[in-house]
Amino acid sequence: MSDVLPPADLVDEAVLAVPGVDSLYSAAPLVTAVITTALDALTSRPPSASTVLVEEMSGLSIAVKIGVGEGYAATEVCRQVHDAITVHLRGYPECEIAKIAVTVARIG
Amino acid sequence: MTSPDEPFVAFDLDSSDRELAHLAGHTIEELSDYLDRGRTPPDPTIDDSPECQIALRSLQRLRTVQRSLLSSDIERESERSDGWVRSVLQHINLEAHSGRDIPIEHPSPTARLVVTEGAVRGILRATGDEVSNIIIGRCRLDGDVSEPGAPITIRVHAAICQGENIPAKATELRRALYAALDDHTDLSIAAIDITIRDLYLRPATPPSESEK
Repeated sequence: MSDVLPPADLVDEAVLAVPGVDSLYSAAPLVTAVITTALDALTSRPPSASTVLVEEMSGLSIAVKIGVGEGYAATEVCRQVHDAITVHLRGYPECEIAKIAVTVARIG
Repeated sequence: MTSPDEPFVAFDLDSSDRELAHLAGHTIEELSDYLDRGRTPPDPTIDDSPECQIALRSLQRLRTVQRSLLSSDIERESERSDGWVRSVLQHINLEAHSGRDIPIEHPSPTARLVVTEGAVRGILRATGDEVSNIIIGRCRLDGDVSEPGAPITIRVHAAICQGENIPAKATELRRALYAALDDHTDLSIAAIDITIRDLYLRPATPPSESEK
C-alpha cells in the first residue's frame, strides 16, 4: 500500500479535461454528497473534490461520476475518462490500481 | 384519447420517500419552482445532482411544448391538455432516478464503466422529444441491463400531435431511438416498442398577412 494518495482534485482536473465531459458529480453516496455540497455552500469553502479515492488491501480504487455533453457518445467519453485517469496515475507509480469506476450519470 | 384524470400508467405518486430519494431531496414541484425563478439563487444541491438536471431538462422541454399550445383556439381544450401534461410530468419525476447500472465495455481488467439507467432514459426522452410533434410519456428498459449482451426491449409511450401519420412518426421515432442507444450504450437491443397513448391538438399557426 502507498503512503501518498494522488490528490483527488487533480484527478478531477484530469477528468474534466476529457472532451465531452461537461460535469463532474460527487461520486460519494447520495446523502454524503448532499451534506458535503450544502456545507460547502454554507461555509463558502471551495467545493470538495468530486472524485472518491479509497485505498484498500488490493490497491487504489477510484470512483468518478460524470455528465456527458451534447454531441458526444457517452460510451466513448466514458472509456476516454478511464484512460485519462490511468495516464494521470502513472505519475504515482507507488499506487497500485485495483479499480477505476466511471459512471455516466447524465447525457446531453 | 386519454381522459384528463387518467394517467398513462398507474403509479403510487404519493410515495414521497421514493420521490425525495431520487431527486436529491427535492420534489418535482421544487424543481419546477426553481425553473420559474430562473435557477436563482443557485442551489448546488440541485445544480450538482445529475438526477435533478435530467428532470429539469425534461421539464424545460415540456414547458416549450406547453407554451406552443397556449393559443385561444385550444384553451377550451385545456382540461384535456392538462391530462397528458400531468402524465408526462409524473413520468419525468419517476424516471429521473439513476436506476440500474448498465455496463460499458473496456479491455482493462481494472475498469468498471457504467452508464446509469436514468441517464439512458433521459437521453431517450430528449431524443424522442426532438422528433417533431411527439412528446415522450413513459420510457422503460425491459431486460437484464446489467448483463452484457442480454437482449433488451425498450418500451416507450408517447403523445402525438393530432393529424400526424402515426405509423410514419413511430418509424421516425424508433430510428432516432436506435441511433441514440447505439451512441450512448453497449446494450443489445431486441426491440423498441412504441405505443401512442394520446393525441394533443396541433398548435394554431398565426394568421398569414392575407388572412388578416
